[in-house]
Amino acid sequence: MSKSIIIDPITRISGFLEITANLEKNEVADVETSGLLYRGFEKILEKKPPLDAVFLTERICGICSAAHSIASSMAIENALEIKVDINDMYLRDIIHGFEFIQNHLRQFYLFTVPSYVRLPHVSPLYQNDYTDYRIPEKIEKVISDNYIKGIEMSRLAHEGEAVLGGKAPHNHGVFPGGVTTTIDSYKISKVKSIIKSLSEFISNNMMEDMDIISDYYSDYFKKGKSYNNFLSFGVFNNYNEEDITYIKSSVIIEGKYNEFSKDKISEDIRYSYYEDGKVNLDKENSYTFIKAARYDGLPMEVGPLARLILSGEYIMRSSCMDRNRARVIETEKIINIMDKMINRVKIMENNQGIYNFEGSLIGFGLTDTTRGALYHSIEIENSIIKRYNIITPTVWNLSPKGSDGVYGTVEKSLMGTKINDMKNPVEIGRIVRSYDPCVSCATHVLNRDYRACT
Amino acid sequence: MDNITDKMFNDAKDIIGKNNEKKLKGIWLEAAGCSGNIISFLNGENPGLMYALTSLIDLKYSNTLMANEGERAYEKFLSTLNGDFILIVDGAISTIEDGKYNIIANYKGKRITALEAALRAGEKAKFVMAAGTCASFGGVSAASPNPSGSKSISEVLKRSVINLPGCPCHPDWVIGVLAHIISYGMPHLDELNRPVMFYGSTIHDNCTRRGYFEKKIFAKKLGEKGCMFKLGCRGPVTKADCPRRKWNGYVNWPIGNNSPCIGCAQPNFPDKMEPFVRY
Amino acid sequence: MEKERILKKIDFYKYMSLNSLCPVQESYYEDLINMEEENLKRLDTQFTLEDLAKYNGSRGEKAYAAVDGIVYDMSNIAAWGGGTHFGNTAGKDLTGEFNTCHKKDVLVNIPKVGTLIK
Repeated sequence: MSKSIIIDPITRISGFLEITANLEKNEVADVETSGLLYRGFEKILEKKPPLDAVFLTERICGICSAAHSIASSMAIENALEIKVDINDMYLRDIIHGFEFIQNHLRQFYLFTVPSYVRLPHVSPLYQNDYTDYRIPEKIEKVISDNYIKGIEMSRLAHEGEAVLGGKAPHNHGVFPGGVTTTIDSYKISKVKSIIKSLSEFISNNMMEDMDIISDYYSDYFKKGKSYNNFLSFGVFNNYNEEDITYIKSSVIIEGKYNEFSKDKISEDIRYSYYEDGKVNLDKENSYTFIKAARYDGLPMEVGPLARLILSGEYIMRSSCMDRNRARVIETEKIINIMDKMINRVKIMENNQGIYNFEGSLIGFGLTDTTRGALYHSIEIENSIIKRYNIITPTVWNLSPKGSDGVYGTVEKSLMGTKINDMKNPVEIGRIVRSYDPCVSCATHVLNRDYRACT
Repeated sequence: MDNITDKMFNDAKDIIGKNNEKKLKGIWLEAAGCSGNIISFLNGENPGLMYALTSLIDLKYSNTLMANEGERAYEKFLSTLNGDFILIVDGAISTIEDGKYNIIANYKGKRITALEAALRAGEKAKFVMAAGTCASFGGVSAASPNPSGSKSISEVLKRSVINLPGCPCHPDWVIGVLAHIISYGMPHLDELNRPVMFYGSTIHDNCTRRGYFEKKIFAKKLGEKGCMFKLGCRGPVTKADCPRRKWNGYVNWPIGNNSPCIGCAQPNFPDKMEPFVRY
Repeated sequence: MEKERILKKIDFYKYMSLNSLCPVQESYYEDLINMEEENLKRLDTQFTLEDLAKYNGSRGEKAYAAVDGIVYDMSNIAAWGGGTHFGNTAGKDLTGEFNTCHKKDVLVNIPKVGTLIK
């Protein structure tokens, strides 16, 4: 007997997501993930001055805006063949690192924990609708206290970002050429002090809380399994030293390592609300504003789990709880990288230049960020942007079916999930949130031709 | 003398009495935006988020924070509409195709657009606050050619709105207005409905690099310590208190980080503030 | 036409300066007289649209804009950061754009550097 569950809004994510699941005998037999916000950033960027893209793309998303400023700066640097000095690169990576920490702290405490732990009696954090709370009250209180500390810690991470980036979100520090910051001993010392506070909280409280949730909800290691395809564009990867390197661009297809090539990236709009370069909500069978990003024709998973698997630091196993654990493990890894990196920063002038945009130019900025692989490409002609393409991590994870009918990554991980209580389908929300969706990022328009700019 | 002391005593009693008023219920409605304003709100420091949620506003609905999901979440929205509440709008309102480019809920099989939610809540709210430039004036969501037909909340609702522009809006501005509302009511607004206490003077009026401007010591590129007027700084035409208040625990601000003001709190941001950097 | 207006202004300022009640007032009007006399001298300089295009406020160039046949120097006007103003770039005839937005009195104290010719 078939039943349909629609959950909209999926709260505690970034943006607007609707999940429609059709169940047979209480198991998910068919599912559609719908990203339901469209602003049309790629159209907005057309005809604008190239340097403005750094600031405008930041506004794609409030929780991952530094990532966009970095990818955008990288694309412009690629187009103009500018090399970034090592000291500026450290500063830029530390800005990026603080955004990672802020995001992962908020994703864990604000977005994930309320699905598993009862929170203080403060609206709207408290709800008593979920029946599946398994952690004993005493331990729950510890996590719930850490939730409140987590708010302050994530605020502190953004303060760290602002010390080097001017303000957060939407920083004014990352710019083509490197950074605009004038580094001095006080800033270095402040950054070190913030890293120390964050590191203590992450290694003690956050890891402990994750372990507790993993123990009490261990069945989620078997729920939310998706394809064995993992992709990363690399992050903290501009250095020869191992202690400040995280991962270089790499890909695993069906469990095996493959050579990465950006030419294998494509986008499919068969099931998305786009037709002939415009939005068409009535297009047959379409159900989302998100495009289907594919690598070599296949759906990929991106994000902390993908990165840890690709760097060999986590077993190749994808599940809801694995993703949550990977995110916390990665948080600790990154704060340690930042700790080593800040010690290498020297007091030097930044290396900004005066940039000319003559002729026809093309540039690519590929980097991994909080949620996974981020792709920016820019085409410049007559000193204005001719075309700008953006593929965000959530486009990979939350993609709809491709033209071949193959489900997107999150859709696949929901398929076959057994729903215990039809009135409280908690499994769906928990699995979806393990991907840390950001739908504000994911919804754009496809450019006139259906390929990523090459 | 007695009259003055009496008056002051009565005034103080009044104010303290008003401060004991229960905090108002609130809805934080995210619309066509980047959710940067609620992230910025989470960055509030002393008072921060927990103080705000326990002492300033009884927040019933927030896509980012609330524990409920699905229909039960939307029901929280609906039940708040009966009674006094503050509506905070974060992001512009997409109006193209009746708002169908921005769906915020699916309730009993029907998709609810942000436009519909904003109209329903807007007409009943005691106060409406537009957090961020997108909600206040259209902002980046409405940047040309405005593919989503985004409009400011003032254009969509025919009623008074408190505009709190900024990209994002500083958490102090939101918290400051909330605190003012529950103790004193509507704050003093300028001709664009921005609270004068935060938006009374331009960045240029209070800029730490004003001396360089006056002496015509101009930076030729970003990353330098001179005035960035020749690079396209929009400080002279933007009203906000960034030079004094600064950001994220008051540590830094764009111009302090050698990057020009791009006018993110200006009504014409971003279209008429571009190009942000011009050598 | 513009020259006559400036000459009238100079006469008025001279009258006010002569009848000043204190040195500060006198110096104020003397400054205005100097400014207008500079304007008068420079009004003889002629600009074609092509000449004007060079002064677009970029790379160290001055920022000139023409309104109603007079060329103004916006280089030190705070609202003209980077040689641009609300979507308008210097080095052009901006009469149309100006008239949709401002009243004439806004231009009173902006230095005049020449006239626009066809």
